[in-house]
Amino acid sequence: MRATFVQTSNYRRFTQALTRLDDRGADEACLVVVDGKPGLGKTATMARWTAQTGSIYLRAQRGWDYSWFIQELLAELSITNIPRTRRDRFKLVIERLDDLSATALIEGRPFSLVVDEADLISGKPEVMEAIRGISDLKFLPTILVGMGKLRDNLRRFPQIESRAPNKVEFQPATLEDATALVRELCEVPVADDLIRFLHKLSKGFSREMVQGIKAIERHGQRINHGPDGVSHADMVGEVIMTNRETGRDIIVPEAI
Amino acid sequence: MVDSMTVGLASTMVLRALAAATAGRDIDALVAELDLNRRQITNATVKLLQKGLILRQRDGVLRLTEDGVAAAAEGTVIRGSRQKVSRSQRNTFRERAWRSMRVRRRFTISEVVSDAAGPDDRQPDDNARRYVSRLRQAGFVMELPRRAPGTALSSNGFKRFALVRNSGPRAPVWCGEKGTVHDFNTGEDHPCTPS
Repeated sequence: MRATFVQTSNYRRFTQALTRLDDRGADEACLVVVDGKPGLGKTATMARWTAQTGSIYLRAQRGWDYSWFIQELLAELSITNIPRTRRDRFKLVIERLDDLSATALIEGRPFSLVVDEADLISGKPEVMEAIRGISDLKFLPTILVGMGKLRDNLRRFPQIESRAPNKVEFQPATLEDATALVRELCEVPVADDLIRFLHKLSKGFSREMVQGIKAIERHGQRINHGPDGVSHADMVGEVIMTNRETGRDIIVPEAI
Repeated sequence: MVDSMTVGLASTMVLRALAAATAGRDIDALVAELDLNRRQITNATVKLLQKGLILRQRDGVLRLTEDGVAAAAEGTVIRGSRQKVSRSQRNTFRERAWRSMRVRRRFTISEVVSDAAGPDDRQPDDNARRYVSRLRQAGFVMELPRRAPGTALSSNGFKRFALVRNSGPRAPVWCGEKGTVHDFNTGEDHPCTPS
């Protein structure tokens, strides 16, 4: 498999949501909510985004309260001389974030605060209000990443919900996405019928698709495939992926 | 090159250069025009931006605000405390690779490369492999016992790693002369033990 990042429709919608923040009507609407089922590419997207932009990345924990959240943020901002009072800590966080976002602005790259596993804190008003406060004060794009509960829990905080008009729900990959993934990642050519089969079998989950691409590549390097590449017929009887519900191997059947 | 120890000198020079340019200037033009390096100009513009003296257009052109025009007309000299000048993030391949490892926590080389590689990186695979190897020798990264299955006929699979010393946002750096990996987050040197 090639080590490359494929820009799927989910990634494009995510970056468009961040671009829309620049055109936002209200300056305080700086929150972006990203959610979707596991295996749709959220982690890969966040890893790519954080690596490329140098954004601040925090992974929420179940026991987070205000102090813990600020401590984590101070550590991420490389602040080691931690002030004693709550007010001074907050002030320092704001100053450092201001420095980083101003530098990013000058260098012409995006910058944001990413809070992963935000479901775990979406029911905690003190943490959510702190995130909103930081985001509001510096108009800092803030990305809350989670699964299904996040969106529901945010409805309990109208003042936060109103600041997150940009919601990106990661959807199962389209056939075009599947085709792009296969063409860009797989090191052997793959026929269209097998791409369609892979897309159908994976139900659009990129985690399963990547697993399938590895299986196709492994088999494709051991056979003489046709000019169109490895086809469905070539893969009959081979294990292509694991069923996420049962944990059992899925073997390619003869009929599609 | 201007002495970087003179606090505020670079900001004052950038302010005056922008006052002389009615159409504004981008960073590249300022680098070409002034006796300052890119880092000095970036830090100076950040300071001016935070003081509300300049603004940045979408096309990257910097212009003076009304306050900036007034400050330049008055011949204001920008002053500031050295403590407030923060270290800008570097954007090298290894910095990006470190950020990727911190997000993923468990990873293969190809996953790190797909996150961190940019269009200007030469041989990112080799770079990532050498960097992860140094981090493993210095105890930042641990090799996991199970490999990810490979695809080639002769492949033994791909090594998988876990980040075991997530010491902070700044990427540890290999110091060839000392044979150590320096961690800027803690200020410590970690000797590499080849295995």
